[in-house]
Amino acid sequence: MLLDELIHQPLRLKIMAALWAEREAGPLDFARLKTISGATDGNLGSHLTTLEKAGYAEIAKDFVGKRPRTRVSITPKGSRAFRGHVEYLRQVVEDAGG
Amino acid sequence: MVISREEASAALSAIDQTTGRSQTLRAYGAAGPIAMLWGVIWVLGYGAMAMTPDYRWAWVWLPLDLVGFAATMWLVQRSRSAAARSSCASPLWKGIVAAIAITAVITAIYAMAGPLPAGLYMALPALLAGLAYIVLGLMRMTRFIWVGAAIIAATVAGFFLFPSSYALWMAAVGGIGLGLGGFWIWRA
Repeated sequence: MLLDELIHQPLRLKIMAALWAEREAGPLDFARLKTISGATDGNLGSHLTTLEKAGYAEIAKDFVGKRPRTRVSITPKGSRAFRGHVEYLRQVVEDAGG
Repeated sequence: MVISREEASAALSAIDQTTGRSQTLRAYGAAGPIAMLWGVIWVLGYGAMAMTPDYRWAWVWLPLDLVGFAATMWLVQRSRSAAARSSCASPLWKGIVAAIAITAVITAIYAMAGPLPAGLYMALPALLAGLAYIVLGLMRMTRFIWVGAAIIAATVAGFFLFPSSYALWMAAVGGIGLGLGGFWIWRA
């Protein structure tokens, strides 16, 4: 198991954790993701683009009435990567502790 | 790249915090409409109490409570469908169990105590509901602590300050306050 440097960046880690937590509930609203992660608009957008390019997150844009809406979800590849990363972190903690 | 145990531990902690925050916000989104619903029911129930003789009060509340519980169950089911297998709806079910327990306790007190003074008859359910909100808030959804405390404060204040128009006070301050509290929770 290896460290996933893309996910390990603090804000991307929070984004992935939020998307993972909400994976059963469907795509997460951009505004809600911003609240959960504590990121700014620009910062969040930039990290989401990075995650999307890596195939970890899927971004869907549409309109509700006349208002634009951006929703984000974790992809199967992103889920596997996140699980692997968490497993790696646990392994590090256990190995150092044992 | 290799990381230390401290870094790994901090990252796991950040994941736990984010996951918890995410679930709490989803639970707020589900619980807020339920509180708003009961705010409306309080307005109707206490408003009707102000206009009907006390021997009809039980018949005022029975249909309102039945509609309230049915609508609450529907809202919980809807939030569970949205959250699928996510665990965030669990505090809501605890809230439902608390509401049923409170109803049973209130019914038992009314049955055992016999005729109560009108003010106490009106205050008891609101005080117990406020207490339940505080307990619910202590579990995870901290905004419920403020809503519960506000309900208790409003109930006690009205009891002593406006005894002659207490039902109207409870409809206006308690009911509308609960509705606004639910809106505040929903918008979290």
